[in-house]
Amino acid sequence: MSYRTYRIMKFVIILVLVALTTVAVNYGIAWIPIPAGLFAVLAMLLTRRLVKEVVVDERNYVIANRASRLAFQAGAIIMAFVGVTLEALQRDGRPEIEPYALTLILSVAGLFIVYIFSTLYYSGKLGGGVEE
Amino acid sequence: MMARITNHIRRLRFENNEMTQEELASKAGCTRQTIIALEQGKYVPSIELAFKIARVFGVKLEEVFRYER
Repeated sequence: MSYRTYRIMKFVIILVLVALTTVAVNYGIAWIPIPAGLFAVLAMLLTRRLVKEVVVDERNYVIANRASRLAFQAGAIIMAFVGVTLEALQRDGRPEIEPYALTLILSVAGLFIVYIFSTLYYSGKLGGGVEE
Repeated sequence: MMARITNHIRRLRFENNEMTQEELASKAGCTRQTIIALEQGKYVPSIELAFKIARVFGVKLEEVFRYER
């Protein structure tokens, strides 16, 4: 299967999934979306395996790496800034803002914890850090 | 001064029976987009990919890639 065919099939699978989910939501059939989503993921994985061309290479990983780093940095900075601003407003007589401020600040903290652990994991996996 | 890695992929493709980007990509195990990016000098490949490309052309690594200061 060519990559082009795979992309068309992926598009069709997503369309069917969206249609099914829309029907399920409109008619209140709660059991449809989860199996439909699982089926869609399975169908995409199976069709992906049939593609013989090289679809992803090192450049894609470099792009993903840089994009995720930028997204992480921008997201963390924006969330921290907004969180701190909301916290300041909360202390300035707007107590109803506190849950939003806390949610943002704790999310940033959580993000950094995940970042630290993933850095440690990859440092170990990729070597370095200990002189021999 | 900024160091730069240049390459002669485009020239080598034409010297090898006008090999298409698609053919080279398939033989080197990467996408055509990566070959395009390499030819335009927008991307520097890993050592592994550089060796694979050199092997496709049957030349030494230094004949494909050059390190310039």
